[in-house]
Amino acid sequence: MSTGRVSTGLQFIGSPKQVGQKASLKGFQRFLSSEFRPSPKSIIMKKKVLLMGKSGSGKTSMRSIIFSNYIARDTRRLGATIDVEHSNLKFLGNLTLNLWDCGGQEAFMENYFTSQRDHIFKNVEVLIYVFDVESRDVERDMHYYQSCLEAIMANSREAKIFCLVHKMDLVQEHQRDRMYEERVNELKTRSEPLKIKTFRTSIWDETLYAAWSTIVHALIPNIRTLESHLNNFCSICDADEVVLFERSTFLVIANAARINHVDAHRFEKISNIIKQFNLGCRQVSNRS
Amino acid sequence: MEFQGFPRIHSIFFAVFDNEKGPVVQHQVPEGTIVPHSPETDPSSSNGLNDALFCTKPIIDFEAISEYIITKEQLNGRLVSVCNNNYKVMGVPVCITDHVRYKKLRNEYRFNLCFVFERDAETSSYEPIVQKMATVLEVLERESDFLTGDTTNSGAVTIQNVIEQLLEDLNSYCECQIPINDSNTINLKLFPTYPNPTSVQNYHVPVCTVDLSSMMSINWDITLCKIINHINGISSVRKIADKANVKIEWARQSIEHLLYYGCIILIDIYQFSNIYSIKPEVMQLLDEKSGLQEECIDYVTLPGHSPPTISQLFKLYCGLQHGITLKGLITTNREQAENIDLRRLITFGVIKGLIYRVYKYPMLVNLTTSASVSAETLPSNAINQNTGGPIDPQLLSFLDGNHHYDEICTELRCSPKELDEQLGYTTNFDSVPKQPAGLDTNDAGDAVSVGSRAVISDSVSNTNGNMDLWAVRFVFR
Repeated sequence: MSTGRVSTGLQFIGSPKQVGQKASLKGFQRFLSSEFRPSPKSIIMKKKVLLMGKSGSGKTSMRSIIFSNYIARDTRRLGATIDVEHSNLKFLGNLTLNLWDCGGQEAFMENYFTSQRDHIFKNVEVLIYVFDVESRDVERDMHYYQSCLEAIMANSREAKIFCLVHKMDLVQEHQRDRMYEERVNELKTRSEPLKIKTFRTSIWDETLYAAWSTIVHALIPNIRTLESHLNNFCSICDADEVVLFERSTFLVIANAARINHVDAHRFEKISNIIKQFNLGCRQVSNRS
Repeated sequence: MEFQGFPRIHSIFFAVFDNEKGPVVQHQVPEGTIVPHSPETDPSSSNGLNDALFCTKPIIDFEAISEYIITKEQLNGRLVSVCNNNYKVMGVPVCITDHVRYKKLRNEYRFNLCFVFERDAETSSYEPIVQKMATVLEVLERESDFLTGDTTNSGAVTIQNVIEQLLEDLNSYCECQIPINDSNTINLKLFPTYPNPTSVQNYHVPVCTVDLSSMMSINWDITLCKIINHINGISSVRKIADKANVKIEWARQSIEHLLYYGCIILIDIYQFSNIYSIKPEVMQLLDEKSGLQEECIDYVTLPGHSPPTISQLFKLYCGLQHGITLKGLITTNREQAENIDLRRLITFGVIKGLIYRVYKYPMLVNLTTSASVSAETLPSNAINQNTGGPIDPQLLSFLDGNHHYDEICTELRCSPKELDEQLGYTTNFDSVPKQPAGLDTNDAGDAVSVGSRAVISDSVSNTNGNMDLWAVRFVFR
């Protein structure tokens, strides 16, 4: 397995089988460099992502793990988010995620739908709504969720909506599928006519990476081109599979495969494993 | 510098961050001022009688300002004031982070004790109080869970008790003492703040306006005690420091303190070479209703002599103008001034704003280039055309036009006459002319004494050709 380094922060793992594939490897690297080189400020793309949900549902914890290299156990020490916390996350050279982590306390939520409505809900690319599967007041959760949807319809009709049913680890294993199905059906009904994508997540396993990879995938502007090039590359070098990860978050950006693989969850598992490994290495080097 | 009294506290409230609801007001006095009073949730504080005393409508919209009450990290620990149309709210947001103690509260406890005043109230005296309360509450919480602990046992003091007593005592007595438990008491006192006084210089002369020696106690600062006895309205700060044998910086600071509290006024060193000039306010002397006339006569009459008339005093004041020294004034008016203490006449005039002191600034001027000279560009070996000799190096730094005679004489411990000799200042008049000497202005528009000008122009004809010509000019302002 050879790993190539692209200066823009992409790491890819492929297995070129033949001579002459080096040429195409180089060609692909060149393509990636040109697609994702850092742009001058004028054409940097900023994508606004709203992260909303009831207080204590796990929004800041997820964001810390994916983007700030927290390990799951460390998120126990996080405090409540006061009002909105903004972070600008550089992604793939010329893409910036403008992430709005919105505190979910009642006072703040009321505010988001009244005096701050336009400010919050305009120009949104992606809305991520987090549901705590253990919540005691499902009706109220739904009420807030629907208020969000109304605001989105009024201000950012084209926004993509992702619903995360979170803290699945707290549900007993044999009940998980059923609970998730119930929730998804409820959400899909309530979200009409908007189309949503749902995920079941937990910070303690790879499901977190599956959800966020998909979310980020939806934000990349030239993803189709990228995928077709990746496919070409995969067939040229006769690889079983080529997967593209983003280097600091280890989220999957795209993949191309020529064989069918049994494990549909292999990507997030790889993300999770490598991320833990990286963090472990960093801790060791910090200590020494 | 009149102190108007402390502004009234309209309300005090205690806000916390609730992990479900967000920022909420947990306690407020009087009830209903910040959030509507609801008897159901707080049965202990309401009964039929008291309901009538409660505020019916909140005076502030809490939700509108809550982001400045429970704030983001950057504002924690700082004094934050926010105003709406009618009221000003002052508080210090506090955040205590403790993973163990606040495990169930998401690792943090945030609170803010806020004071509400009229919007335009002068609240600077309260700022230390608000800060202190924040510190005290934080310490109490950390040491004995005062804010989050269980307060069901009836004897214990609660935060509600505390703010009730704070409001009552600070408004009524301007001080407050609240025992919390065996080991803790809250002590607060309001101190008035005055505007900062002007800075005190070594050549200023302090005059007492209150009887300091009777107010003095052994607890006062030692330097202060030493110098008070030497404040006599005549000695300059430097002289006081010399006589009392204290460091000049400490003497100056002590005088500054006395000035801050309004115990003294600063005037000039009284010298016969001083020049004063009248201000339009001198007309107040002619106004019988102002009471100024009696005061003046009382103050300036020499003991054992008959009091002067107000027209006498007025005439003397009018005799003060640019170009006329006190010596000149006395010489002219010797008979009219026999029963008058001239020093007191001058002091009275300065303090009441009837006359002002005209200072004399020596300035080294480059005659050849007529370039202006600053402190950095003073030459070290110039020949002063006035005297024909070099300038004493000690004097050089004072000759940029920013230092007047009083200052130079005080620093170098010389008399004005000696300084005149050094710098080559001469006047041609030993007797005071009836008309003021012809006043000219230099390029800067300052009045220049004609006498010295004449000296300079005489010496221009002796130019040397190679070296720059320097002379000392004198500016009166």
